[in-house]
Amino acid sequence: MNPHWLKTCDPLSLAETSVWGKGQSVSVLITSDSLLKAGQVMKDNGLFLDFMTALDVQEGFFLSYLFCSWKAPFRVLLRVQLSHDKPRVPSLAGIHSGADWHERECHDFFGILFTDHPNLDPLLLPPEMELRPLLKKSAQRKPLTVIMPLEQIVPASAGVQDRLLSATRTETA
Amino acid sequence: MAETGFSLRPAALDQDPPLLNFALPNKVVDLCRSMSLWPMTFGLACCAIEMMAVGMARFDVARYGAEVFRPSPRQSDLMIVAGTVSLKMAPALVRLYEQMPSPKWVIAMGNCAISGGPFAYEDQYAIVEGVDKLVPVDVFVPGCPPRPEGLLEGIFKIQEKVTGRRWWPLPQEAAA
Amino acid sequence: MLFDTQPHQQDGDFYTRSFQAEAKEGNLILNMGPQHPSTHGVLRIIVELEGEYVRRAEPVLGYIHRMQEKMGEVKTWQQYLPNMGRVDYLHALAWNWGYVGAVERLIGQEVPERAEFIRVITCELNRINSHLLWWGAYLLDLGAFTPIMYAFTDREEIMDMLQIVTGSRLTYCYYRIGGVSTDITPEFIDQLKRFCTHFKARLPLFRDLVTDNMILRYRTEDIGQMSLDVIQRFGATGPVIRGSGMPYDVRRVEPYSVYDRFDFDIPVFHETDAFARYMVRMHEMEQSVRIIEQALEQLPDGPVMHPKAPLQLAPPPGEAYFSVESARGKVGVYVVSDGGPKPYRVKLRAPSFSNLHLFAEVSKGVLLSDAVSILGSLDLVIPEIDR
Repeated sequence: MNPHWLKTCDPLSLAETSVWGKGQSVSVLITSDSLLKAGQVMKDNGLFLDFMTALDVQEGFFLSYLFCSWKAPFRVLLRVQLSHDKPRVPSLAGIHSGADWHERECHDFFGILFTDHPNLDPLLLPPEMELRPLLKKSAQRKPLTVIMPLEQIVPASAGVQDRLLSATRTETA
Repeated sequence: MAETGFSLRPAALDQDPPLLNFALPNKVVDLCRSMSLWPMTFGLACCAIEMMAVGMARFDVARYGAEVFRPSPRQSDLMIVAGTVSLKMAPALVRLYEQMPSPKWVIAMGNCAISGGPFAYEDQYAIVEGVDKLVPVDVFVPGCPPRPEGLLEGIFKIQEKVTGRRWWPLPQEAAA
Repeated sequence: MLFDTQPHQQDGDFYTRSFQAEAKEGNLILNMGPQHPSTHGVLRIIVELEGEYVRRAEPVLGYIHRMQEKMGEVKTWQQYLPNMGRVDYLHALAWNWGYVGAVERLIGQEVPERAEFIRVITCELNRINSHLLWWGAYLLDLGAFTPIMYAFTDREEIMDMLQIVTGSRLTYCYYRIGGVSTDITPEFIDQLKRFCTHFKARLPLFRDLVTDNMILRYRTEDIGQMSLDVIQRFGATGPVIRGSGMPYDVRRVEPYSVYDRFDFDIPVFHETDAFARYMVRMHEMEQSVRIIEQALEQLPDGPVMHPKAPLQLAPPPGEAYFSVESARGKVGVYVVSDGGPKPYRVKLRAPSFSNLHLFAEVSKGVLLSDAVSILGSLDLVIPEIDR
C-alpha cells in the first residue's frame, strides 16, 4: 500500500501519528468542501469508516473520521475544522453507509448539521430534548493548539507534504 | 442533574378492589399468590443477566415458585426493574406498570433502579435517578449488579410482605 | 358519530409518526420493543409489514442511553475505569482493556509481561462466557429452551473462576493502568485447567444437541444473508463479517498485547447467513480455549503491576486510541487529554452499534419470524449501542 494516493483527497496537511496503534497512521487535514471527495478516495482504496466524532474546542469543532484497512494495520484520519456559529459539513452516508448513525449521534451531541443526510432524527436522545450534552461551556473550552500537535492542525505547503509522503512508506502489501 | 425541561409522569396508584373481601379467604389467597409469583421480565441492563441466572439451574428460583417469567404485563404480578431507567424508557415503564392487574408488587433490582447508581453524576441528564419516582417500590435489592442470592432474598421479602411471615430459613439457621 | 373512522393524528409517538408517513396504504405498522423478549433488552424496532413480510424496518435507539461519554468528562481518569465494566456487561474485560490500553498509550506506560498474559487469559475466558450466553439466548429466541440451561451451567463455572481473580461476577473492573489489580492464584490455575479439559468435551455435546438439529438449520440456513460488500459499507466487525468470508480480527490484523505469540485460527465461514455466524462463534469458543491453554503454559513469573504505574493521572495533552477484539467485534476507545486530571473527551466505538445498523438493510423482504433470527444472530448488547 503506497499512501501516495492520499494526495488525491486535496489535503491541507499530512502528518504521521503514532498514537493510533501499531502499523501506520496518517492524519490528513482537509476542508469540509473536499470531504466527499476524500470519502470516495478512502472507499476506492479499500478503507472502511471505523468511527467519526467531534471535539469541542475554542476554535470551533474538530471532526475526526477514522478509516481503517481490512487487511493491514493502516489507518487514515480525516480531520475537518468547523466554526461554532455555522457547523455544517456534507454527510458521508451516501458513500459509507455506516456514517449515517455516527453522524446522527454527532448531531445529537454537538448540533453539527450534516447536509444531505438521509435522516437526522434524534438517535439516542429523546426527540423532545433540546440539550446538546457534549457542548462545553466556553470557560471549559481549551484551544486546539494545546491538545493536538501543530502539524496535524495547521495547513502545510505542498513541498512539505511531498517530503512527508515520500518519507512515509509502508512495508504492508 | 442537568436541567432538561423533561417532566416525568408517575404511575396511577389506584388498584382494583378484591372481588371477595373477607379476612380468611384473603389470607389463603395471599399465601397462594406469594408462593406463585409471576415476575415480568423487565430486563434493562446488566442486572437482567443476573435475573436470568436466578432462573437457571444453580439458583433455581423455581424452588420458591417464581420461575414463570412472563413478557406480558397482563399475566404478571411482580415487576423486577433490573437496570437503569432512562428518561426515554420512563413512559413505557409507567405504562407497563399500569397494565399489570392488581395486586402487584415491584422490586427495584440494582443500584441504578434504586438511585441511579454509578450513572448519577454531575451533569447527568438521561436517566431517572431511582425508579421509585415513577412506581411504588416494595423491595430494594442493592448491588451492582446484586448477586442472584440477593434477588432471591428480595423475592423472600415480597413473600413476607404478602403473607406477613418469612417462609424460608435464614442462611445461618440452614447451616446449623 | 359513534365510531371515529378518521385516523388519529396523535397516535403513536415521534418515531412512529415519521415512520408512518412513508408507509404504503393498508400495510401494518408494528412496534417491537422497547420491552420485547426477542430484542434482548431495550431495543425498539418499528417494522412495516406486508402480510407476513417485513417491508421496512427502523431501529429506534436510546432507551438505555446513560451518557457514558459525558461521564468521562466529569470523572477523573481513574474514576472512569469502573464504568467500563458496564458498557458491555457480557464482555466487560474487553472494554476494560480498551480504556486501559488507550490511557497506557497516552502516557507511554509499559505493562509487565505477566500482566499481559493474565489479561489474555481472563479476556478469552470472558469471551467464552459471552458466546455461551449468546448461544443460549439465541436458541431461546428460536424456541428452544433447554440449551440456555446447559449454557448457564458452564457460565456459572466461568463466573466462579473470574470471581476468584476479579472479585465480581459480571461487571468486572480488573485491569489497571499499568497492569492488573491482583495476581492469579494457583487455585484459579488448577480450576482453569480442569475447566479447559471439561469444556472441550462439552463442545461436541453442544454440537450433537443443537448444531446438527434440523429445526435450527431450517431457522438459520439461507436466512439473513449479508453480502460482504454491504457489511464493509456499514463497517460491521466481529463474527458478523467473519461469517461473510472476511478474516478480519483485531487480534490478527493489528496484534495487541501478546496475541502474536499464540497459535490460533480465525474461524471464517463464507455462507453469509445466520448459520455461518452461528458457526463462527462456536468455533471461536474452541480457539479461545486453545489460547488459554497456551497462555497458561507460557505464563511468566514477575509482577502484575508496573512499579511506576501512576495512581494519580494528569496525562500530557494529546489523543490516543486503542482497539481490541471483543466477542461482538472491534471495540475502540478514543481519549483526548488537555493535560488536566479529567479526560477532555472520551469516545467509545461500540461494535454492536455498527452491527445493528446493518439490520435495517438486511431485513427488507424477510419473514417477520426470520427477522427475529437475524436480530439474534447479530449478538447485540443494547447498553453498548446506546452508551
